[in-house]
Amino acid sequence: MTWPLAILIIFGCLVVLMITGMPIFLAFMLTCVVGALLFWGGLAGMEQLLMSVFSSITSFIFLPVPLFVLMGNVIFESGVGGNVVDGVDKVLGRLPGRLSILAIGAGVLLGTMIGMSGGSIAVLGKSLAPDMRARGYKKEMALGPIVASGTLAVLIPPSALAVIIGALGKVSIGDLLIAIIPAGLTLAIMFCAYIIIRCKLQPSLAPEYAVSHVSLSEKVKIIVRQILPIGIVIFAAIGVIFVGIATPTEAAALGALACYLLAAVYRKFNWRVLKESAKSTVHISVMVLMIMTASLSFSRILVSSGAIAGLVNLSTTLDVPSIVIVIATQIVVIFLGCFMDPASIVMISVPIFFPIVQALGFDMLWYSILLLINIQLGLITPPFGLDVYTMRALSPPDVSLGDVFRGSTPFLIIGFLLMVIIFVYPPLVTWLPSVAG
Amino acid sequence: MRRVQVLLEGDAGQVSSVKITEKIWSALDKTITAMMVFGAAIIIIDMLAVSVDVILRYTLDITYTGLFEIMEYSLLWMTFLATAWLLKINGHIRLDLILDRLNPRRKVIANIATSVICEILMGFLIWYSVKLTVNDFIYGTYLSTVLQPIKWPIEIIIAIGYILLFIVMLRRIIELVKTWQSLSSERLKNAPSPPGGEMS
Repeated sequence: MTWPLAILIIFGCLVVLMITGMPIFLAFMLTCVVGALLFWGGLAGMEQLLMSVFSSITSFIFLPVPLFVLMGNVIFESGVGGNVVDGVDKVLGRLPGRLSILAIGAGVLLGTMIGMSGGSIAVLGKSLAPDMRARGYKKEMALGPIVASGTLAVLIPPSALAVIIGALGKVSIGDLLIAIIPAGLTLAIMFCAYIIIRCKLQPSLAPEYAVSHVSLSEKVKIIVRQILPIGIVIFAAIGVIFVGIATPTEAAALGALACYLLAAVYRKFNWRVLKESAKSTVHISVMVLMIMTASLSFSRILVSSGAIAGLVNLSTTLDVPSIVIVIATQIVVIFLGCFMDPASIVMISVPIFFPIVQALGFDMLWYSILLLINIQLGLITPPFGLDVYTMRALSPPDVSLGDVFRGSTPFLIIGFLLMVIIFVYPPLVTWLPSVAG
Repeated sequence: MRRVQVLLEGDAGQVSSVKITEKIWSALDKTITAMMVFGAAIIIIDMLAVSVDVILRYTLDITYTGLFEIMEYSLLWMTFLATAWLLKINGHIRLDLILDRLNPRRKVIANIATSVICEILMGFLIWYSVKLTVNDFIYGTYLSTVLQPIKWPIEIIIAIGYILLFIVMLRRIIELVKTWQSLSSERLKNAPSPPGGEMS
């Protein structure tokens, strides 16, 4: 079977099953069954498929997932997340699209406590989205910034995805975590600029409302009480990696514990917080991990069918300048991002693309950041944008998946714009690690 | 008189069978919720175990090398323990772009069709996961890792998870069929009567 036909069968099957409204993990699994029957030697492939489910989920790279989600849920359930959002809310003045900007600002702060995009979306989706709706914000201006905040959670350390890319691509994880900081902050500034300009042009998207005056001394108090204590969590979840005390999984566990301690310091820790945070973590983690069990088998079937190799061949055998090949690899990642989860994309793209890009003489730190942003943006690209599904899962029934995708599109474009900026101006991400030595 | 008695006995039998069915579903609900609670407990235990391990390593130079491996297996258990609960509360992600555009009756029919396909898939997965577990049990397969554990007690949760998913999906199909029947009867009631219909 030729690889274009294999792609047609696999993706055709997946898209049709998804459209029927089948749970995504089952759509993936059924596609995997078809793929296993076609490319893994008929019924014999079924056992391999089940073994793949076992090996994919018992992988150390997924260990931080529930712990990072737990961090976010503790922050939300205890009300500490609300404290942070409230703190930023009081410090923030009167601005066009104020709550959307608040989502971005709080997204940056939450990003320091939550290493997975879904966690940040969960906190803001539960705390800010209802307020936005109540104040008459249009769906696109309410949903888009919250989904975009998920992108920031990955581009502000700790970032599980950055750690996975660094580990598999043999790029210094420390450098990678430092390098993503300016990228994340630049993206946050670009998001805010977009919101302000868009709301100036179309005020009906985010109606203005009266903001109570807060004095300077009160603002300082708020910062000290509500924002600075986040430092404890930042040290537990990021600092320990920088000083070499703990691995990312250990940092995730320490971070979650620090979140509980922070809740206890604020006297907000109780049995309900423990129960609800664990329950919500199970909800989000299982939702994601069940897809991951199937999608890993899916990526392996793609490799077995020759589809990935065919795509890679197509993009690397062309007689064109090397920079075009790098762009081609990013385009392939964009394509993969439409259908696959970040971990699967990393596991396929890093072993294939890294040797090629390295041989072409490009800076691997720079390429890793591009890959990280690209894969993260894949979480908000249709039809399989996991962050969009997370936001939809947190929204009231009248919010459709289409509404969330429409709201996220401008932020997706801004994300790609950031990639272009990094592409033409690499020091944006390579400068800080070189200074840090 | 005898006819009335037979009818009453028939009703009583039906009522008791409904009660038994309710009891079975209630027991199933409790089992599924208990499994989710175990899953949640696993996450908290993992967090505490790793944190304690880090603290002990840097204070008393004590560490347990197999901890990460146990955590990997706990991740599998947590996922498959709670997956049926997630399906029960309709928490699994699904693409509803097309379904949302259908009228309620067609939506129910589409849901029944996809649920039946899922049920067949689940049956397939149960068969192969049970087969794999039984084979590993018979041959005493070990995992070639640091702890070298026997494989079947770890992987058995995959089969259990799929079996529970199968049951929850079956229950959903029954409920969907009931909804479809009530929607169909409502549709018949609301349909305009044919000319002379009332006469006949």
